[in-house]
Amino acid sequence: MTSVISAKHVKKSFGSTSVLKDVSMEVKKGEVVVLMGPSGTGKSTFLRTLNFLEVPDGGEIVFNNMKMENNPLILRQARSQMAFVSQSYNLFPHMSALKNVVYPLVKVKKIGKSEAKIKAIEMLSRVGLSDKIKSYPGQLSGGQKQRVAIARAIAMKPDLILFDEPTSALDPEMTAEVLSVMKELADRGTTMIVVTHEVNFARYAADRVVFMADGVVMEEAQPEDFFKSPKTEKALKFLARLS
Amino acid sequence: MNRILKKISIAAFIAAIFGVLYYLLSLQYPFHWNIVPTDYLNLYFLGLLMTLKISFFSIVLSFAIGIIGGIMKVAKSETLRDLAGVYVTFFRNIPLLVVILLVYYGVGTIFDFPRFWAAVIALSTFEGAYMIEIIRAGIQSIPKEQFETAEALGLSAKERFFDIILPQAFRNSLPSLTGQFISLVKDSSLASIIAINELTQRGNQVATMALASFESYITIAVIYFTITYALSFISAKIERRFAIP
Repeated sequence: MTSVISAKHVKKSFGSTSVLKDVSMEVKKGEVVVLMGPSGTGKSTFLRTLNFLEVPDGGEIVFNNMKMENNPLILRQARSQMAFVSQSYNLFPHMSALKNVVYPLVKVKKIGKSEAKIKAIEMLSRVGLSDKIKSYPGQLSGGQKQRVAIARAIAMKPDLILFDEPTSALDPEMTAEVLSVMKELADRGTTMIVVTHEVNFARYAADRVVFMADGVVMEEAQPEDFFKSPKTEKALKFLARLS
Repeated sequence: MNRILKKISIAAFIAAIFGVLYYLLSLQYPFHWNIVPTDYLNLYFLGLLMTLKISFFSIVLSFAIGIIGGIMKVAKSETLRDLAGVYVTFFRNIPLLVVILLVYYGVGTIFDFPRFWAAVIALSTFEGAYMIEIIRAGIQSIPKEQFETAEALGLSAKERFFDIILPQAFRNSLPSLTGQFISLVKDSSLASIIAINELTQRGNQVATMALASFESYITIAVIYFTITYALSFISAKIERRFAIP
């Protein structure tokens, strides 16, 4: 299978703190990769280097056969095919749910307004929010907001979706509604990289778990193997604390 | 209803204090309300027009300065940030009166522009410094995730700024901006120092001509209050109109 994204020897420091020491990863089409690890070990930073929200200090990232560079044209092109859903404040508060989905379709994907609208309504229905299209983010619950963000992401028909702890700001009930939408995406064959602490999501939706600690990838395995018999001491400790 | 009653009673209380002051003053000063403002309405009207004209041009110009400077203040380039920073520091640390005098007698002499434009330039550059800080605060009050989300969507720098950041920053800044606009209208009274026939200058003229200073000053105070109160009323409307649900 073709590789959607491949990161080789990615390094990133903030000041004198080296957050990513040497991280490599490859994700194939249709794969769901869950990135786990203790807080502050560079999972989010790594995810953010993939779409160049953080420009890596070293290494190489190739997405859809395109080498990522800090160049507005390349980044615009790459980002239009690589959606990003973060923890919170994903939506633009001055736009309705519908407009939040329509706006990037029109601006980035250059789709006509009426067509974008039809598509947006379809995507919002898919995440179960057809009755909320006119609502503003301030009128939505945290879980609904994240679902709108996911609708916006999938409306762009991206080749890859990056999720940066999409449920960590939500209470358990809302977490469940967001995870079920993500699970459905996974089942439909969406390629995604998910930073999360949700063990159940990793267990049932992921094809592969990548465990990061101290700025490096400690181990990679299929979810069952990883949760049953982690190979490293660090992973063992981490899992013990999670459950 | 209760709240309105409360407001009215507070207003009545303040009016009563003014009433007492007025009475005490009237024991020593003969008020001639039959002459001022009635006989000079024309002059007050001309003054009001001039005040509105200066204020209008200065609000537009200072707002433009505020937006440009506010953007510079959050720019990536250190030079742009410093440039805006020095501007703000400069104008916030000298009195407006001095700025007006410097622009009129100094810059105005070099470039030979009429006193009206000297007043407008002085007011806009001065108030612009405050607007810069207001716009900057408005931009910085937006969570950094908004910038990132816009970036991650693949929006261009221009789209990010004009469609995502500025509309939110503008809403956040609106209350402070109106406050600054109101200050500007009141500060325009200082233009009287370079003999511009705006409201305060007209008030002075009437006060001298009719030998009725208190009548005249009370009259212009009432006119100023009416304009600025109307401004805050309009701005409250605009705020509600643009409010994000």
